[in-house]
Amino acid sequence: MTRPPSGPDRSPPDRPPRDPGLATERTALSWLRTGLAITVAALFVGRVAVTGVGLGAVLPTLLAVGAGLWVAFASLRERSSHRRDRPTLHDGALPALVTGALVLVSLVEIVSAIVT
Amino acid sequence: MTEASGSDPHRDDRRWPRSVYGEGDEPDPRFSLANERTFLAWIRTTLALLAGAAALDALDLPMPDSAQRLIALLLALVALMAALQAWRGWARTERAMRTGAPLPSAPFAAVVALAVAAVALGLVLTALLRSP
Repeated sequence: MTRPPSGPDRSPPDRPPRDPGLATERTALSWLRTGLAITVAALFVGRVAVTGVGLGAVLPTLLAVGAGLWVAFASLRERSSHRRDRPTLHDGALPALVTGALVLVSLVEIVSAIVT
Repeated sequence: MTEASGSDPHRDDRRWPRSVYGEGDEPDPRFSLANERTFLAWIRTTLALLAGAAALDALDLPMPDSAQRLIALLLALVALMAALQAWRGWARTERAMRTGAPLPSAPFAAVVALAVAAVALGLVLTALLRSP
């Protein structure tokens, strides 16, 4: 077994083997479209904000675009890892990354709405 | 690693944050995955609100500039709070499923609904005031 020692794979022996069915596929696709949407939305907000806010909008926008692309690629890796029957570890890291990226984009848009 | 005692079943669990994974039992993975998709639905709600705010910011609509900026600001503020609610709801739900507690409610959904209704009302009113 090359699975990570921790996490959701440590099912106790008294339970049936886990079969999430298509839930993993559904979730990976949900991550994929959210990652792509973050990328596009960050670029759109950044483009609008840069006229009013100036160069200060560029760095948070690039960070958010990077986070969106990261999420999209992570979801693709996740799907191929499921096909190899080696599920990756789910925890709060990716949700925290996405939340942080959207807080940045929201702040850019808030400043832009105030100063424009 | 807050509880690294001998027979602690959470000792080898490296998942983050510990406030979520540090106690309780593994829920059915389908439930954890559903919780993730709920998180992502909140995130896409945030994105929609941000897109609306940026559009109002960018377009030159036939309405007072101050009103347009106010609506854009309101949408962006609700977007910020929706992003934070996405995280908070995910963490609280995951913890509740691990400990067997009732799932937390999300009263912030009502704030989003009210804000969107207020924005729609504002846009309708400005359109009506302009027409002869």
